[in-house]
Amino acid sequence: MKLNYKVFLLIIILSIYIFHVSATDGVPTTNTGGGFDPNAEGYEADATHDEVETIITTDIRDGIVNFFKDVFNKNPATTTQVVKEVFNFDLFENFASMMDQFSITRTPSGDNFNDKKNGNNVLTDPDTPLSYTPESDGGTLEIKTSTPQFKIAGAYQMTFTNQNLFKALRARQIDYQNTVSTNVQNYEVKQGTITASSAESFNVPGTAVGCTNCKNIVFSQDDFRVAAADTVTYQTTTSTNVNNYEGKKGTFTVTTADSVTIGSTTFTDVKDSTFSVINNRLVYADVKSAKDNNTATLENPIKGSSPDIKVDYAENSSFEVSIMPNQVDFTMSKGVFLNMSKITFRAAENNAKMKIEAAETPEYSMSRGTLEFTEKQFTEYIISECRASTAKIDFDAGFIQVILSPVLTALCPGCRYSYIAKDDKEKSYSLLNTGYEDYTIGFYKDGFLPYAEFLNSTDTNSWGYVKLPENIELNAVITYDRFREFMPQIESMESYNSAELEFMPVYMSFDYSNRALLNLIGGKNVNLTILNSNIDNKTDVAAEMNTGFHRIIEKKISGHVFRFEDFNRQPKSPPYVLLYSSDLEDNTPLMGVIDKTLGRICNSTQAIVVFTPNTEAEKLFRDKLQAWAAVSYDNMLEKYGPEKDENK
Amino acid sequence: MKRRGFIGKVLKFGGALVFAPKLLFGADAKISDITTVVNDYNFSKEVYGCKGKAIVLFYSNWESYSPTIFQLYRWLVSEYRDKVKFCSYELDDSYNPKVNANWKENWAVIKEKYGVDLLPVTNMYLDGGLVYRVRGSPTEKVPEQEIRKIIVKWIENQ
Repeated sequence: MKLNYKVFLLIIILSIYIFHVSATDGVPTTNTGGGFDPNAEGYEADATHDEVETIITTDIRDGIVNFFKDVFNKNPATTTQVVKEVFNFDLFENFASMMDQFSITRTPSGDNFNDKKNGNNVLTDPDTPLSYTPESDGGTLEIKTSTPQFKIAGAYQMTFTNQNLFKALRARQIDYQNTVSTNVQNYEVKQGTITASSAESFNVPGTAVGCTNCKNIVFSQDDFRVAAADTVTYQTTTSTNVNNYEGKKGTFTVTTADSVTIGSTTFTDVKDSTFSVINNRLVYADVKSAKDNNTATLENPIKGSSPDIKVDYAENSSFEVSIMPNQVDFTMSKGVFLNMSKITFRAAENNAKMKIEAAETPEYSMSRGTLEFTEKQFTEYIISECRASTAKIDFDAGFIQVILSPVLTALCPGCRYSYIAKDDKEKSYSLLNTGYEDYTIGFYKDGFLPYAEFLNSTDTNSWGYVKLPENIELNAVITYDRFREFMPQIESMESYNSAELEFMPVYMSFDYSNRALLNLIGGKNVNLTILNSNIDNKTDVAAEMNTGFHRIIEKKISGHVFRFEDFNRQPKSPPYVLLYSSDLEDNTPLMGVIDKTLGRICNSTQAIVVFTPNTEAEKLFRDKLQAWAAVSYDNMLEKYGPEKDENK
Repeated sequence: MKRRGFIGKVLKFGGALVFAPKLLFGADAKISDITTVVNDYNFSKEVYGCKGKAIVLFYSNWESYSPTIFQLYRWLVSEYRDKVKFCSYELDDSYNPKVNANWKENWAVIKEKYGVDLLPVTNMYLDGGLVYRVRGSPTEKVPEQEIRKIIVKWIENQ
């Protein structure tokens, strides 16, 4: 492959002679001569435009440090004991151009060095001469140490073989400090790449790369690879008991590792994982767990959310996270659990997603999972099975505003919001988006989101507003659910509150022009008013209201909306609805439920008949209701429908 | 108007079928829609971590040179998307000297990271390593065909 590549480049260079091929960063380049050049448009010239960078590596053996540019392969040693050295230098280009070779040799007497307190010898006297011996003539030159500035400690010999090194060193400002490598086996340097079969400890001068008890080491300017190691350090990261470590430009992967630490973030027992670091902070991770009951703790940069995010995941579960200053993105496998103190997310399916965005009230967008907020008095959550739903969550008040995703297919229902009152479960409720538009819900939450402010913030017709414990306003297509009622005859309140109950529909709207007002009485019972039951041709049922054994449907027939009463042998909901009224014309009697009994009421809402469920009187009323043609649309039409056109 | 016979209609319809896939990469196709959009956060994963060949177009929508290479890029994507991963990196207004007073700092960073010092730049990567670069847009001396020849050679010869 390499041969082909070189041949191809040669062909390009020879055949397209009009191209200028430059190598400003060592990359073969074709310059077309066109393009937007900010430096050529009168903006200030960039002085470093044509600066050459050269790959610099070092060879350290037997106390000798060699800096070189190209190939180093002389006298390979099998075992190398490397001593400590500390170098800080700042070479000047004009100085560097004076020489072809430069060496500094510590004299046995140490005349050229001053002792420091820590025992290292440091060259500090600017007037102390150092030896310079050009290879060609063997001459000697005295150099004052103030130009260039050297600070050197330990036993060493430095050899510069190419003057270009000085430019590169200056450009890169390499700072060698406290490097230690011991028991290095088969240490070789070739074309800018250092390799070693093993090392008790391995550190590369001028970089933050190192490892202990490591095998099969490969280091170059861009890569750092280790087959196995007790510890690996790469920039500011530390990994322990690592297999197949590969680092490249701030990103590294491991096949397995007992731990990976990046700043204050630690991953334990991971496999087949990738991590990216920018400015010493984790910005991306693709992690798979190597054990059950695993937890990773990540920093959360989003203000107003929790300071960290704990990720609980099982063996072979995985998650991917991108952490940016204003946004955190997760993609997870099924079962992964994100814990942000009061806020949690559980992935119900693979490829579940959670995104946290910075805002005055942080926004949480999610799909294929459950996003939950828990307080002492209540729990609220949204379930989004397929499409993404969004929630603005205040860390004290809970959900402030949510956007519930709509129905996609029968297998992909709309998103559900639920509120569970812990001390009185009968007050719990749920809203399910059964329409084909996003549904926005605002929550008053003790004045956190006033009604007017909510209306100003949303421009959709599919919206609702919840002001507990007083009222709920629901527009467009939505379903309002409640739990079954508490039955003191068969259960205690404690067992009722702890029971797993299913939500049952109380009010179902099927038309986008509907508007329902639910006045909550004691936060529990409901006076329901349905307004605007004008329906378009796409739907025939505008709204449905369930109260215990009874159901009221507003249905479109022959272009008009009519009301039907029905008796449910299988109760669909508790009788929380006390009074039902509608803006329909009074061409049919209204139904009212008072004190858990159903009756026909007159237009002034004064009850004229009341019955207690499951009594003989109620049975009689039910029979009359059926006889009164409530369940037969044909009979209903005959009784209350538009006048028949006798000409037809 | 020239009338088209039955066979002509069949040929026209057949031609439409043959070239239908390329309509996806037609003159109106946005570069960001037909390529993998990369940025500093996903560059390591999408490009350095890419096994095989990847081409990254560094471009902007606020200068006039980048659009002159878009049509070539659409053609490359339509022809070689099975062989090469095509990516695009948009330099936004923060790089525009006429808009952002601190443009020099951003240019210094992107030059240091990816070797981009003008627009457009096409970087070609093999197994995550940068191996070749086309710097600039088509000109009289280096027309689009020549740039196309270089990139296609690189794609097909390795």
